Amino acid sequence: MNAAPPLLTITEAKSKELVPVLRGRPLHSLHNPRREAEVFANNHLAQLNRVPYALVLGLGFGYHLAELSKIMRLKHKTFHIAVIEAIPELARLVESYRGHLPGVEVYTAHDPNELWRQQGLAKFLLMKPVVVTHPPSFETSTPYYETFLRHRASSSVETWSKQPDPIWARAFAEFKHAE
Amino acid sequence: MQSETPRHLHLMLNAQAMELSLSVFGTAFCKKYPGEHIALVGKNQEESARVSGFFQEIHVLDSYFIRQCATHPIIGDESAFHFFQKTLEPLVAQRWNSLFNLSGHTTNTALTPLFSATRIVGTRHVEDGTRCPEPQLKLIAQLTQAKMSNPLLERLLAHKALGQLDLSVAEQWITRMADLRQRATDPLKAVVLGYTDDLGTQKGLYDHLFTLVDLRGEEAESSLYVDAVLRSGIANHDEYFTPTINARETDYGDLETRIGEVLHCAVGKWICFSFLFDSLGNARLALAAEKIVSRFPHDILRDYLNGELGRLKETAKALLEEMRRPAPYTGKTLIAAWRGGPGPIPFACTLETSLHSDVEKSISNEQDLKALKNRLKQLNQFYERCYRATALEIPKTDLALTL
Repeated sequence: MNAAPPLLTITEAKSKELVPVLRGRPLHSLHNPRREAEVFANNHLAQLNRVPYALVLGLGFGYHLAELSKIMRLKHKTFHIAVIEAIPELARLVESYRGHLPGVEVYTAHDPNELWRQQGLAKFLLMKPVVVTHPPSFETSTPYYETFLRHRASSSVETWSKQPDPIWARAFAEFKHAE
Repeated sequence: MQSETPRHLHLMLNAQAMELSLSVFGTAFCKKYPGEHIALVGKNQEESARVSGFFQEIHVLDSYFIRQCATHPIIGDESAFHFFQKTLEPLVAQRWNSLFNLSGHTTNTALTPLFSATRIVGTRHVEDGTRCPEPQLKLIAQLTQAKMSNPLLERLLAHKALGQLDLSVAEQWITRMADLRQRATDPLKAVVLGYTDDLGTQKGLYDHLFTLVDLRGEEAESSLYVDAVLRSGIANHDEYFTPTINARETDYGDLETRIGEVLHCAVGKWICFSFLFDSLGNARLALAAEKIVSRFPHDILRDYLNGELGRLKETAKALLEEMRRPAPYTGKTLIAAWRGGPGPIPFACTLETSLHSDVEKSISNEQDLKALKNRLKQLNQFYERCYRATALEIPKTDLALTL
């Protein structure tokens, strides 16, 4: 995906918290992003109670992640949140402003197909997490998230995006089926 | 710039491979293979590899995770392959002095074509199949299929394959076992049980009934040569070469039954040892093991040998049927022998087929079948010698003519 660099800026909400604006669209409330995040997290209470793993589509500025973490911390001994973020530059921005959010791992790439090469994400998906969509993030990068969500395992080697060397392919095929 | 220090890669993606590899590491091994030793292990083997201190580098291939990804409806094969390749690529890019695949396990063997090595020790894939030029290592892999694998026995075999065989422990114990049986005042006292942990109040009872030998402080290999190992509070375990008895077994009837099972196994075990020592090039120990067989209580020996003759006849019949058919041969005789459960017949057959370097086609022509027939003939002759040595009546069979 070779799109033009997104127009990403930071603005201040009325509550003095910072809000990223992507392509002119604020990713959180410009009045009170923390209050909005609290309501958002509570709306997902039932889902978050079920399993200690949540896959969140959209990083925003992390307010919703902080609220999701609070709920999960109450309900589970340990929990993990993985975030898929369409804009790598936003991920870098959030990290530089807010540091690493405890219990949260961010996965980002310009091409959503690259996400399937990240071992940490694959390990996380095997835990069957609940999926939570951050609407402003999803709406500003819909094709990206839809490509990610529509991904399915290839039916045969011939359909892989990159053909492997035959020696590697044979070794892998045998390795998979070995006892 | 290529390092001049020799580098050796060990494939240990499962517990058996790990245990076997660690058991051969020692001064002699490091002298023969100087340089750096690098481990490729499964996730469950990582800790053991680190703790051993043998390896300069440890690389982990998480087989379970990769296979889970491969079969996941969304993650899938392509991602799994990427993780597989990413882990192995740094190792594949190097040129190795030696590549070790001692256990011949299929997971490890699957990777062998990827690596470039001056010397490969153990099972490897080649253009037209799978080979293992070292008979003892092939024997290890085949004994696993025959459900007769044993880590202590495998260690002996691996040492032979690596040119480091030391039979001093076997020699010591064969002499001791022969002596203990000779001095036994009654049939129960001829049963030799080893113990490796504190038996507590049970020790007195077992000491009174049987001959007890303290294995604490002895080489681990010693457990192979006693009739069974007494373990405190651990359930009876039927591993063929090292059966165990639960020392807390207080019911005399149950104990009697268990001893009967153990002795039945022990006769077969010493027959296997006789053939094994012969294959390891030590005819003297082979004969000593044969003499130990003759010293078992006669009622147990008679029942055992009569049963074995019957089984040998069945195996011979299957073999002759296979010989009457034209090629290609499927190795049905071998598979049938394995299916009959552990014992001298599958052991002898496996000894023979381990001499053939082809792993998949151990029986590929009439010569191979004739070699197998000769091995069964040797086994029949062994039984005949046992009958004569003990003056037991040999049942009338046409086995000598058949074989």
